[in-house]
Amino acid sequence: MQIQRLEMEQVRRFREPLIIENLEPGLNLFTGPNEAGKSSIVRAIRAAFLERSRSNKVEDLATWGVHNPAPSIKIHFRWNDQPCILEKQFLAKKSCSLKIGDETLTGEDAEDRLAKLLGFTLAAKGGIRDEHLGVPGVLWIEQGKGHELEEAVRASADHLRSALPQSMESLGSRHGDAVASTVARQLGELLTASGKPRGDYSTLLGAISALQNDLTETRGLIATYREQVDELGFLRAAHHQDIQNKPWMQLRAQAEAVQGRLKAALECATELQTLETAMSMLRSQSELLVNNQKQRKAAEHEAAEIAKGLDRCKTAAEAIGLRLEALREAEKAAKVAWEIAREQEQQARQAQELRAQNQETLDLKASLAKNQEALEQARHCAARLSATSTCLSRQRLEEPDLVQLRALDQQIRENQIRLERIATKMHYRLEPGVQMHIGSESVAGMGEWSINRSVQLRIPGVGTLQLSPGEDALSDLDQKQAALQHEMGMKLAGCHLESLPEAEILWAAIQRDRAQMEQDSFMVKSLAPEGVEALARLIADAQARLSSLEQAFSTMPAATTPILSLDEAREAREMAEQHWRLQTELLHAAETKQAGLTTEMQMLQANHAKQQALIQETDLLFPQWIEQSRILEIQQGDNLLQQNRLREQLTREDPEMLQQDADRYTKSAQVAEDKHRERAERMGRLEAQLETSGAQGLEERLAEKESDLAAKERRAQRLNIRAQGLGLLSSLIEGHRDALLQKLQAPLQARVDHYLRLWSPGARLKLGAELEPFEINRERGLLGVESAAFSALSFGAREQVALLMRLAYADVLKEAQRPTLIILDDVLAHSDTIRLDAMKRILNDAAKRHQILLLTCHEEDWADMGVPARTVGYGLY
Amino acid sequence: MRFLHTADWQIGRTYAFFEPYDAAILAEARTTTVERIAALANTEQVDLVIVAGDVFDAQTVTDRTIRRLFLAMQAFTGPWCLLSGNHDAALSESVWTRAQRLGVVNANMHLLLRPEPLFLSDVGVAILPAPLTQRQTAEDLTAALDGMSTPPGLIRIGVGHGAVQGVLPEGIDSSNPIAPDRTETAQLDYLALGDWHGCKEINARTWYSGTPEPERYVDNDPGQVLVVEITASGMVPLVEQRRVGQFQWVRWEQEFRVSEDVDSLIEKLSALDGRFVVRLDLTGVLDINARHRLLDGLAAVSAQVRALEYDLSDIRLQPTDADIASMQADGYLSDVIGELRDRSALPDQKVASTEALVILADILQSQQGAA
Repeated sequence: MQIQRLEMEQVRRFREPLIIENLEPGLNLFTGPNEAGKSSIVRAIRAAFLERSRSNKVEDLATWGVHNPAPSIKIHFRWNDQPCILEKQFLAKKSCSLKIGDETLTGEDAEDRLAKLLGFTLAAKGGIRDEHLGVPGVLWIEQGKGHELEEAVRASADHLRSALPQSMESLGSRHGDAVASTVARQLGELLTASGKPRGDYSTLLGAISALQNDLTETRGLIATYREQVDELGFLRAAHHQDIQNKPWMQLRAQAEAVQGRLKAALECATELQTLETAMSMLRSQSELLVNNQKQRKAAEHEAAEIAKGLDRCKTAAEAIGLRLEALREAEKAAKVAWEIAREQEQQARQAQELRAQNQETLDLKASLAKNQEALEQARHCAARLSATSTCLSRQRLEEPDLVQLRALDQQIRENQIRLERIATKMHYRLEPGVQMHIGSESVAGMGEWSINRSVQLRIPGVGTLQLSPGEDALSDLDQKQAALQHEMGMKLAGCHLESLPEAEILWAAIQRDRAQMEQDSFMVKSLAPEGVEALARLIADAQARLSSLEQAFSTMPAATTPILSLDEAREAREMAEQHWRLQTELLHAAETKQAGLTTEMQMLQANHAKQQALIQETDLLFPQWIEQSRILEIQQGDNLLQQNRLREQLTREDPEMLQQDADRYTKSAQVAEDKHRERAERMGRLEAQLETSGAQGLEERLAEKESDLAAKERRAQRLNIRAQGLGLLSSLIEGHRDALLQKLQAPLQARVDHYLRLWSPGARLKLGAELEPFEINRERGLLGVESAAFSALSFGAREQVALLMRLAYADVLKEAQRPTLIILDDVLAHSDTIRLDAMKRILNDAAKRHQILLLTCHEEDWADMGVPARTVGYGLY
Repeated sequence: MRFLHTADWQIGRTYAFFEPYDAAILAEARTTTVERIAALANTEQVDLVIVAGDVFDAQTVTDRTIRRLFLAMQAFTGPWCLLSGNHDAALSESVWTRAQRLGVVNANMHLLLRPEPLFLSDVGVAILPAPLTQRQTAEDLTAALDGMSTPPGLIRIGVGHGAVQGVLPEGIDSSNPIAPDRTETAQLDYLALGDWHGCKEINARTWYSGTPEPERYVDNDPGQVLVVEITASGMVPLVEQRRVGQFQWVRWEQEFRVSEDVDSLIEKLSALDGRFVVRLDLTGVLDINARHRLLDGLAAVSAQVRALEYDLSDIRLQPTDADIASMQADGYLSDVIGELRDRSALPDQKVASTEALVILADILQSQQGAA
C-alpha cells in the first residue's frame, strides 16, 4: 500500500486546502516546528482510514473558528497495483467513498472494506477506541506513544496471527489452555508458587509432625513406665530378701559381741595404767637411793684427793723457802755491780764533755775572725752603695728620654739635609773686607748661604737685598725644623741638659753607676746574707760564748783520765742494770708462789674437814641403802612382767579398733534398716506412679496414634504424588506449549532477529503468547547473559525495541499480502546518537519494503536519511 | 473332662494400616470373639477354659479395655485359667495387677502368674502353668513343670507360652523356648501352648490353639479354638477344632498383563463378603480404561468386604492410542501424553508420570463431560 497524494480542507490547522503529492513508496520525511501542522496531517490520515464518516466524535478535526465546518480528506493510494481513492467528509457533510480500481464503494460498505483491508474494527458508535485499532494501532505511532506496544499488539493479535503462515488453532490443542489452567489451579491448591505445601496439605503435614512428636513423647513415657516396672520388680525381690534375712539384726548382734570385748580390753588398759604409775614410783625411789650412795662415794674420793693435794703443797713450799735465800743474795750482788758500772759511766761522760768544749772554743775563734773580716768588707760596700744611690737619684735622664732625644735629633738632621737640598744657594765672594749682613748675621769673604726663608741682605753701602725662596714647601719645612728644634730644646731643658752629646755622656755615667750598685749589692748579700746587722749580732754572740767557755775552763777540775770510753761504759752499765732487774723479778716470783701455796693449803685443809664430816654422817645409813635398792629391783621386775602381759593382751584386742568395729556394725545396721525403709517407700511411690500411668493406657493410646499417623501419612503420600503428577503435567504442558508457540512465532521471530541484530548484536527478544515483546536477553561478555522484561527497559530502549518490533510485524503482514503503512509521528526523541544511528539503519532497511511517513520537529536529526524533507507549515506542497 | 484351649487373644491390638473406622471394628472384633468363646464354652459344656498367654496385646491398655474383656468372659461361669505371655508378662506391675486392682477378676477366673500348680479338684485337674514373669527369657520356663508334683488321679495339664524348639518355621523368635518333649518329661496329659498364632499340633498331647481372631495375613489356619477331651489321666486327649473367628484375612497378588485381568480380579473379589479383610498386591500394566474399571471395581468391593487394602503405585499406566483418541487430546496435549507414557517406563519417574497421566485423563474427561 502506498499513499501517493493527500488532500485536505478545513482540517484543524489547514483551513485552506492542503495538498501533499508525490509521496515516495519508501521513506517520506515531514519536518516543521511545533504546532506547524504535522500532527494535523497524521490526524487527517487516521480519520480518513479509521473514523466513521458519520461519527460525531471527531470535532477535533474541524478548523477552529470556522462556522459549520466540513473537514474533507482525499487520499490517493495504490493497493495491489490498483489506483485507489478514498474520500471522506465529516461533521457538516458526512460522506465516504472508496474507489479501488474500477470498483467504487460508498458509506459503510467503503468503511467496512477499509477495516478489513487495514485490519481494524470499526467503532459501532462514536470515535474509534484503542482496543479496536488493530494493525494501525501497531504501525501508526502517535506522538509520545512510541514506547507503548503491548496493549496495541494485544488489540491486533488476531490480525497479526492471521498474518502468520501457521496458526495456533491449526497446530495447538483445543483443550490445551483449559487443561493448563485446570492443572495450575489444582497444583495451586496443593502448593504455593514457591513449591511449599499449602492449605489442607500443609495442615496435614503439620498434623503429621505434631503426631510424630506426640508419639516420641508417648514412647518415652512407655519406656519410663517399663523401667519403673523393672525397678519395682528388683525392689520387691530385694525387699522380700530383706524381710527374710533381716541383715540389720545380724549386724546388731555383731556390734554387741564387739562391745563385750571392748569392755574387757578397756579394763585391761586401766590395769596397765595402774602398773605404770607404780613402776614410776619404784623407779624414783630407786634413783634416790642410788644418788645417796653416789654422793657418799664421791665425798670419800674427794677427801682422798684433797689429802694428796696438801702433801704436794707442803713439798713445794719447802723447796721455795730454800731457793728464796739464794735469790736474795744474788739480788744484792747484782745491785752493787750496777752501782759500780754507773759510776764508771759518769766519769766517761765528763771526759767526753771537756773534749767537746775545747773543740768548740777553737771553732768559735776561727769563725769569729772570718765574720769580722766579712763585716768590714760588707760595711764598706754598703757605704759605697748608699753614696752611688744618692748620686743617681739626682739624675733626671731616663732611657725613654734619651730615645726621644735621639729620634728628634735624627729628624732635625734629616730635615736639615732636606732644607739644604732644596734651599736656594747663594754663593758669595765678597771683596775682602766687605762685610755683608744677612739677617742678623754678618758674613765676609767667600761662602755659601742657603736661603730658606725670606731674608734681608744688607751690604753696607750697597743697600739692602730682600731674598725670598721661591717655594712654599721650603718655608713649611723650615717652620717644621724650627718646631723640632724647639721641642728638642724643651726636652733637653727638662733633663737639665745642653745638648744631645752631653746627654749621651751622662747616660753612659749613669749606666756605670748602676753596674757598680749591682755589684755592691751582690757583695753585701753574699757577705751578710742575713743583713749586716745580723752579722754583727752573730759576731757578738760568738764573742759572748767564747768568753763563757774560757771562764768554764778556768773553773773545771783537772780531768782524770777515764778507763773506758763513754759507749763502753754505757753498755756495761746497761748489762748490769738488766741483770739486777732479772734477779729482782725472780725473787718476787718466788715470794708470790710461796704466798699462793700457803693460801691453797689453808683452803684444802678446810675442804678436807668438810668431806670428812659428810662421810661420818652417812656411815650408819649406807648399808640400809644397799638393802633397800635390792628390794626395789625385785619389785620393778615383777611390775614389768605384769605390764608385758597386759600389753600383749591389748595388742590382740585394741580398744580403739574394737570401738571402730562396734561403731561400724551399729552404723551398718542402721544403714541396712534405713535402706529397707527407703526401699519400701520407693516401692510405694513406684506402685502409685505405675498405677496412675498404667491407667492411662499408654500403649493403646500409642497404637491409636500410630494408626492415625499411618492414615495421615498415607494421605500425605497420596497428596505428594498428586503434587508431583500435577507439577510434572504442568511443566510438560508449558514446555510443549512453549515449543509450539516458538514454532508458530518463527517467521515473526526471524524478522525481529533481523532488526535486533542491527540494534544490538547478540540480543534475543522473546515473544509472548500474544506475539507481544516479553523478555530481552543481551550478551554481557564475562558477566553472562542479562535478561530483562520488556516493560523493565528504559524509556528510550523500550521505544526503540517497540519500533523495530512494529517493523517486524509490518514485514510479516507484508509477507501475508496485507497493506502496510507506517506512520511515525515524532519518534526516537529519547535515543542517544549511537542508538539513533542504528534505528536509522533499521528504518532505512524497512523503507525498502514499506511506505513510512516520518514526522519530526528535529529536521537536523534526520538529514542523513537520503530523502528530502518536506517542511510543513509553509505551504510548500 | 472337657476344656477349651485358646491363646493369643491380643486384646488391645490396633491396625495402623487400615483406615481408622475399619481398624476400630477389627479391634472391637477381638473382644466380641471372646464373647463367642464364652458362649461356645457353655454350648460345648466344657469344664474349664485355658488361655495360654498373650491375653492382652500390651501392658498399658486402657482400663476400659480391661473391663470390656472381663465382661466378655462373664457368660461362662466355669473356671477360666489365664496365663501371662510375653505381651502381658507378670511383671511387678502388669495388666494383671491392674485388673486385680480394678476388681474385675471374678473368683472363677484364675490368673496363672506364678509357676505354681493350681488344683481344680472339682473337675479333677491340676493346672501346671509356666507363666512369663519377664518380657523375654532365654530359658525354658516349662522346665519347672517337671518338678511339680500333683495329687494322684488329677489330670496334669501344662500351660505354656513360647516357641517349641525345632518345630516352628525358621525365623520365629527364639526367645521363650519350649522343649518339644515337655509332655513326657513333666508327665503331662496335655500341654496347652500359646504364642504361635496358627492352629498347630505339635504332638498328640501338645497343641498350639492359635489366635481365635486373625490379625494378620498369615495363612496358618488361625481363627479357631480347640475343644480337648481327656477321659482320664494318662489317656490320649481327643482334640477338635472349632472356628470362632469373625474375620478372614486374605492376601492376593495380581499382576495385570491384559485388561481382562482386571475383570477376572473384580469377579473374584465380588465373591467376598463382609467377613473378609483383603489385601491386594497389584503390579503390571494397565491402560486408562482398564484402570478406570479397576478403580470402579475396587470401590465396589471395598464397600462389600470389611477392609480392603491395596496400592496402585506398582501399576504402570500405559494409555493406548484408543485411550488418547477417546481423551480427545489433540495438538501438543497428545505430545504431553506421549512423553508421560515414555516417562512412566522409567523407574524413578513412574509414580509422578502415572499420576500426571491419571490427572490429565480425568481433566480431559471432565471437560468432555462439561462440553
